[in-house]
Amino acid sequence: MQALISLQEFGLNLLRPCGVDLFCVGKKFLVFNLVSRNLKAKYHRSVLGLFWTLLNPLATTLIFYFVFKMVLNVKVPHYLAFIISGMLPWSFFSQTIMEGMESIVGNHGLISKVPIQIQIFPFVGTVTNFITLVLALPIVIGTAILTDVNLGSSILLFPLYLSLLFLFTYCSATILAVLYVLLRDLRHVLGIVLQLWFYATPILYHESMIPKQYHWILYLNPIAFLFVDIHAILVQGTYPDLHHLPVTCAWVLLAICLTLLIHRFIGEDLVEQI
Amino acid sequence: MSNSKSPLIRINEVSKRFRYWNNSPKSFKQILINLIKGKFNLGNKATLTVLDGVSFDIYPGEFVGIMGRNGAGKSTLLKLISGIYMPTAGKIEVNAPVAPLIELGAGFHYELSGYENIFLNAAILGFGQKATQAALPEILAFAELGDKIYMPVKNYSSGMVIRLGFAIATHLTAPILLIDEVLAVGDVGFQNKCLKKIHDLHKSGRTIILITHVPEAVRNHCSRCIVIDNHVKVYDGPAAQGVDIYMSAVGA
Repeated sequence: MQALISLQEFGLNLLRPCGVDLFCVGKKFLVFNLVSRNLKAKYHRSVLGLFWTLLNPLATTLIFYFVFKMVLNVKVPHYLAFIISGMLPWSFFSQTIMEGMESIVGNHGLISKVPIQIQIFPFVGTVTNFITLVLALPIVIGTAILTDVNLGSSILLFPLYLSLLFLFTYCSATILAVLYVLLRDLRHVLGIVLQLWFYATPILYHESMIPKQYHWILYLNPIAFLFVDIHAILVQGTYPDLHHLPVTCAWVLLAICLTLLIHRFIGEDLVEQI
Repeated sequence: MSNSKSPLIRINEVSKRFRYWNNSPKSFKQILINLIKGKFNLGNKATLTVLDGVSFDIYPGEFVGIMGRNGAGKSTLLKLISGIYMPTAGKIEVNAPVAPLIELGAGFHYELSGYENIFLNAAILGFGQKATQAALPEILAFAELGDKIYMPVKNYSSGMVIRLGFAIATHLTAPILLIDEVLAVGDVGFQNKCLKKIHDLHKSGRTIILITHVPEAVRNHCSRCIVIDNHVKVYDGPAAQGVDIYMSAVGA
């Protein structure tokens, strides 16, 4: 019994690292309502709501497929499944940090009138977009099956990689949201950074196509191995290289630590700075 | 105050200063330009004092009116009590849950129905699902929206929005209710209904702090009045006298 209680406490401490309610566990009702508000507002009055959200990454997938497969003749097997399994997680990541960056400033009206934890806004944005990503997964898996990918038991590991992506995205969104309060032209900088980031991540190409002398770039890119591993699971149907996991986890951990630091140091009078 | 009970809210020598960055480089561009010019400064810090050493206690069951000229620091005081701002100096102790009523219908989403917005607004105000469900019938009755409650809020008149916001905020039960000039909106009939509702809440044991510019509201309902002028407390005592001091301060 005692052990059970201490285990529960340990779990709670994991959810509230350093006393910061990072995952808004104390505000479940509020998170639920804000997420359902977002989803309703996005998909209200339009049965094709989800389709519109996914139209952009799907169209981009087809364009890239045409350019890289038909024109440039890139030799990656199951190339359509390859691009789509990278494009959807990427569009979750880039869209969430773009929107998340403006989430604190954008909700200034609320934050200055109601006592509310500021991390709730990037959190709710990340959860909303994550639900969209999960709802779109049948498209990814369907494409894989239709293009004759042999999906193996490694797909059971997929949720782990999705969770790591969620954590990294949420932390990045929070960090950017706080920085955006202080530096308002971050939006333009982020646009350029995201473009560079997209091409620096193995989404359109296989990691083995990168010349050996540039391989170190993968280690500097927090999400590179996530995409390599997602491709392994969804396109090659094999188990991902487990040596990648510590690198990804280290980046995620660093992002969590930075987020906690930011909460510790500027949390208090951030509201007045907006 | 000759009250033997321990205070619900204890404000002890509280000051609030806002930091301002004059010519602050709020952008990468500005930082870059400054670096090229060969200087790295983050702007000059200036401070603005909004409250200076304010102290008072509020006891359970009191109905306190706070008056003062525009910019005197009343709203900042309310935001400090509700925990939106942190004091620069001094100590604030709040010993019971607070429902701040600084803006009616905070966070309403205009595409959603009034019904959906009840839950959204309640969650934003810090209440849970059970409390919201329990208060739902009374909220619906007070708002007097009938079937329109299932219409998107964007189709409401501004009066209807205010009615719904007020209904939510006053029917969810927090022991302390902070109200900031929300009575300035709505027609006279609705204002009286609100005042009556606030009066009833007070009768049922809530502690109420009301910021207002309406002398009658303080005279008729408050047991005590605090006047803030030039960032300090200038009066704290019986309501009628406080109103007179406020009236002479605004020069009316």
